[in-house]
Amino acid sequence: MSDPTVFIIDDDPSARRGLTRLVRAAGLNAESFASAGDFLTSRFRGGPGCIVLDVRMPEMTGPELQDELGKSDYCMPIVFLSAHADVPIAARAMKEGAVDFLTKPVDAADLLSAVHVSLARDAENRAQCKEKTSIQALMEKLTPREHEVMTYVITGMLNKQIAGYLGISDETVKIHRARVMKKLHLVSVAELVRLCEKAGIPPAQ
Amino acid sequence: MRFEEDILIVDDEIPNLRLLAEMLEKEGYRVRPAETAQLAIDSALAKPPSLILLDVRMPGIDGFEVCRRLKEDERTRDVPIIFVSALQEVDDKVRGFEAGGVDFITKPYQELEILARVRTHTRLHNLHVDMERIVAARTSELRESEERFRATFEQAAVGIAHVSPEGRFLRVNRKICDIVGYPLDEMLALTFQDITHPDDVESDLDQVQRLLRGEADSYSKEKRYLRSDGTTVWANLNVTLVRDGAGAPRWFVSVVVDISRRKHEEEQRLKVEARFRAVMEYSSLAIVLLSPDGRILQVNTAWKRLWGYDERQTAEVLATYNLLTDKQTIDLGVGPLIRKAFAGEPVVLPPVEYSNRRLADDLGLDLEDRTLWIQVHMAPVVGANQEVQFIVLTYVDITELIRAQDALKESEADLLRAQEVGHIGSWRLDLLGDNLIWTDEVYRLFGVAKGTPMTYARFLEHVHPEDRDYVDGEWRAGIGGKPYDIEHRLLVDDEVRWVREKAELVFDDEGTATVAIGIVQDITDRKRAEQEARRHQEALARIDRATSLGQLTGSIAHELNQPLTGILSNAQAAEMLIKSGQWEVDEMAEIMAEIVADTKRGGEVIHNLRELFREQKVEFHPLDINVLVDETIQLLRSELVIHHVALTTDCATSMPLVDGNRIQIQQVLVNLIMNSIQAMDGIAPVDRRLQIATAQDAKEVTVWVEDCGPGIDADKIDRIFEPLATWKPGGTGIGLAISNSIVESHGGRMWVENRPEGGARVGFALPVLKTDLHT
Repeated sequence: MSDPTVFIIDDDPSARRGLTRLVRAAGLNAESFASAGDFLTSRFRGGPGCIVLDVRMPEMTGPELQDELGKSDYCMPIVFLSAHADVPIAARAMKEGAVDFLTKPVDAADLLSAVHVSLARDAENRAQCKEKTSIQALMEKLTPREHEVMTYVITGMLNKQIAGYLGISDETVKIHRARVMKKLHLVSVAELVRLCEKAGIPPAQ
Repeated sequence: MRFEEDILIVDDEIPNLRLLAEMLEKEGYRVRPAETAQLAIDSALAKPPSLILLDVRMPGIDGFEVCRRLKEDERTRDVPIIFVSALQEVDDKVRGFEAGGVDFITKPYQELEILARVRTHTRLHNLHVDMERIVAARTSELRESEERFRATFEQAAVGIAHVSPEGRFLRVNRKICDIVGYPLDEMLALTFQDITHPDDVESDLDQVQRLLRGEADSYSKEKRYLRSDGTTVWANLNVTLVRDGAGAPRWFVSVVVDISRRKHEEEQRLKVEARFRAVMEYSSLAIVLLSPDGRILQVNTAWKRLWGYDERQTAEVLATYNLLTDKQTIDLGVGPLIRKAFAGEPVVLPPVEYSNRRLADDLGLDLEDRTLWIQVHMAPVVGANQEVQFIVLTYVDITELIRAQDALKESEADLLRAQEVGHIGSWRLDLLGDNLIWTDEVYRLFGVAKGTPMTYARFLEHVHPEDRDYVDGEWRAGIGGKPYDIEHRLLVDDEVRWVREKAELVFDDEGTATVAIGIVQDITDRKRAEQEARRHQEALARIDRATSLGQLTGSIAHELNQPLTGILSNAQAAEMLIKSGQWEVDEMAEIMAEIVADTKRGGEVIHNLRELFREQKVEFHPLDINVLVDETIQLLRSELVIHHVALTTDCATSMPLVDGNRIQIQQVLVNLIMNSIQAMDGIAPVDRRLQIATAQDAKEVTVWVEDCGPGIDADKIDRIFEPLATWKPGGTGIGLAISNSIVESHGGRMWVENRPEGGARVGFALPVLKTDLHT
């Protein structure tokens, strides 16, 4: 995975050049794009890093790019820049998860602060994502029956109750349960509950 | 005895001869005896007897030989010869008959037998002779009849043919050959189908079948034959079927009469009638045929149209009208002239005003009120007996002419008044003598005392000092052939007065201008009104620009903030780099260059804005429309972006310059583009397309702005340039009106239309700058 980068998307050449230079002067990686389309078709689309995004652009505007990226699995944090304060657009962008909405001309301190927040948030998001991915990899080792039994175990039911629900013997439940714990390298039900929570697996109803 | 029979008796024995002679004479025959064969032959040939009694056995020539000889001779061939002989042999009798005898009497004979036989044979002979005579007479009659028939057939004035039931010509006469143009021998190889016009064959065959079936004995028809030379001939055909005794068809007798001439005459007559009808139908003159007693015989369509009569009214007028007793005509005083026409002399009536209303009153008819000025010609048609047969009366409707004459008289009077009112004077300049002649009105206009002698130079002194060079230049160009039609100022007692001058030159044979004749018109009031209108328009234009400013605030801020962002970011980046101590001279120079460029860009934005809103005198300069279009697009770029409008431009190359005011033309462009952008607010962003195109020809430069919006309502499009006639919500309704007045003040024109594919297209055209400044 490459180093985190600040992606500057602005159709205006003056603003784009100045912003890129500023971000690089602050010691960060920066890549610039003249349109949302250029960015979407580039290899940087998935990050890592954050996006500094102009609002008004021909073809695809900043908010539209935000919507487009929101449809994918993961969206990098976005800092919006606008040459013309527009409250409804700003409100909407923030509601959709933008880190900040700054007006041009932007002060270096404000921009770099927002960029740092964004980069930190991206790193955090990616770490969480990575853990979830490893848990899911473990979970995939379970057989469908073991997975099913697990969802009952994390509800706190006794083996007997689980056997009743599934129409199998106490002994069988016990064997499945032991295999689950062994495959997931766990010793306690509490640990199992936490793990399922992180992996986003809900208890049986 | 009916008549004396003359009988020749031939016998070499005298007693026998005498015996027979006595016997026959006693019975009343006249007898000629002959003792020898030679005497007998000579006697018979000299005068053929009624009968010959011939002895067979005679010295020298025997009876058989005599008989043969007589039979050989024409004169005696028919004289019956009875042999008288003692021979009884059958052979002899046979020989006798072979020789030509009619009977054979054997000796010795009974007297009664001889007499009986002689009587029988003379009677037979007489019968035969009678018969011969009758036959000859009959034959002669027949021959005559035949000849008569042949002559009739051959010489007949009609074509005659005998035609077989299958249609083949069996017998034809010369006339029919002439009619169809085939020689006789060729005709006999043809069938009637071969020479019948294809359109007539079927009907011919039908008729022939009817005859063959016995449904008719004959038929007649008119038909066409194809002549051998390819032409067609009309004929009347009469066909009769001839049957044999058993009723079987033998042949048709066809009688053919050439009726081409009649047909031709009939066609000619029909043509003449058709032409007459056409003349009556299509003549734009009203035509009336009058009887010698004044009644209307016939009228044409133009007449009905002229008076507006329908068929019923026409019929009523025809039934009741009489020119000789028409009261209106009499009142018009043309009675004597009309009577002249009825007496046989062609006349032209003076123009008269004739009223349908009056006619309706006089005749008690229901006619529409129509009064016309008419010019009437009356031409009597005189027959061989010198009597008038009918009168051709033609009308010309001269109502329009009369009215035009009236109007012309009025307008001439108007013109004279107008010249007084309009302050128009005229002048004449004798170029060779430099002698300028003015009318009173020109002296008045120029503020010069009447009668002051004038020259071209003195005229020029009265022209406004600022316009002198212009007037002089135009005048010299005028002498060179350029149309002289100018407007300039005069300075009359320190007061500025505007005049229009127009002149025409008279050239001599060598092409040198000798005399100029011109007019001077005082247009001071018009010029003032124009200046006033221009001031109003400029004031409105300023209001419009201010309105545009309000709408453009967001865009302007955007346009300024972009370079400011570049400047600030670059400056702060430099600051950071300097603080860090890790900077390079090259990068710093680049930063500085970008800051300078961005600062200039911001300055340009402000400059353009100031230009657009600056209050200044409206001055015209040569302009390149393409450059103006580019600048305007730059100014409105963010509006396009905000509104998601995709812009395409299609600008013509090598545009000629136009003479115009930069700010005003730009204002027009801003107005049109902003209108188009706003017109598309209601449609999906992906569909918002704006096209700006420019084009040029020798005379004009044209600009179009097209959008894909809903277009303009049909009921509003005609009034689109009227002030306050907005078609968009929130519009002031002056943008297009101002734009139109700006374009018109530039000598151009503007139009609005809905595109067939949807959306509106606004275009304007400006005249190309006439001087050659742009080359």
